Amino acid sequence: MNDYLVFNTQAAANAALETIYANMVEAINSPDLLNIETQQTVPKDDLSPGDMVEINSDSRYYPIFGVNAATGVKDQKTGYTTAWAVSQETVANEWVFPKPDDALMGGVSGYTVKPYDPDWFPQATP
Amino acid sequence: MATGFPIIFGKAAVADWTPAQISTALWLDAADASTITLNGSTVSQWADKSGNNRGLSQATAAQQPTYRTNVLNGLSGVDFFQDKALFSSTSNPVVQFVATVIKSQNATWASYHAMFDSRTIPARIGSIRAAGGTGFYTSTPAEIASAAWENGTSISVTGGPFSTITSPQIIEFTAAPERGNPMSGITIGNFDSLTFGGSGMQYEIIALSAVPSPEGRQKLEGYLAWKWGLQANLPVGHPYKTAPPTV
Repeated sequence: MNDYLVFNTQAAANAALETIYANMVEAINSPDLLNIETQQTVPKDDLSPGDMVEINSDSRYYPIFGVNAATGVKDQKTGYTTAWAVSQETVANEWVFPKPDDALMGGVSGYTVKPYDPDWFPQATP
Repeated sequence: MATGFPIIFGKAAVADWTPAQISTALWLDAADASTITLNGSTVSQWADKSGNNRGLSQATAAQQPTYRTNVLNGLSGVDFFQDKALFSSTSNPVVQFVATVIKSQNATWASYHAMFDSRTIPARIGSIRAAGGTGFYTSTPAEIASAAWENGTSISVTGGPFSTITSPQIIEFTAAPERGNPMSGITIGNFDSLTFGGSGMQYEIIALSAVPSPEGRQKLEGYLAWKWGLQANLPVGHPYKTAPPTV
């Protein structure tokens, strides 16, 4: 979890972030998405933020929707995950973000993997 | 069946005092799992118990803090280590006083850590802990808290050093007078609107819109100390050293 993906440009980093997020959505089988208002199955390609859908199975990846820690009830409105990470620029003008699980790396290219280095962000003083 | 006020040995039964007895601007309690929304083991939302609906959230998976169960007095905490954060961009409360139970991952703060602060610099209230140190971050122009307490004892607001921070402490401070209030958004972990910072664990956060009286502050200290098993940290002579506050 301490490994980061390192890219030469912000555009490349953001393209990778889009791919990783798509992989997160892909990891959830579409039959498991259910519109809780219409009780109809929702095709995963039609999934968008704010949809009142729930996942009927436990994903082995990061769930798109959170669950209440006490009750286990899904929280479709407030637990919505919209991105894997936000890319950050280092002092070397590289763009980095935390590396996800290998299972979510399909289609991601143009990166190197490096351990987190605090010296990337010496400007990060309040 | 008779109903009415419970009577024990001829006296009205007493209950432990909680912040529900006062008006709070925001109240986050990691011990109350019903206020925590999880994505796996990470926290996507921490709901507000104040009644003001000022819950904080994090929609970016890699920046979500981790929910640690059974880590302090049998209760849970929210771990912001390595640049995690929860925030709100829409809540702008007036906050003059903050009490929290917090510990650092390392002997000094590995990164700047906002215990409870605004998302913009002009409205910071002075909660940031300094990277590489143990005390508050102090900047120019100043955003120094007016006063601060550690486990019920007054402490320096200009940097420390404080006592060991790798064990949980009750930290309180009154807002910096030099910057704006009401706050401009809220962040815990990362400072401002950045994705840097966040290097500690927080268990409970209570924010008030007015500075409490010394008696009111001590009541909060007593509540936090007895709930989180930190009563030994209270100084001798503290009114809640030997028993928690009651109503």
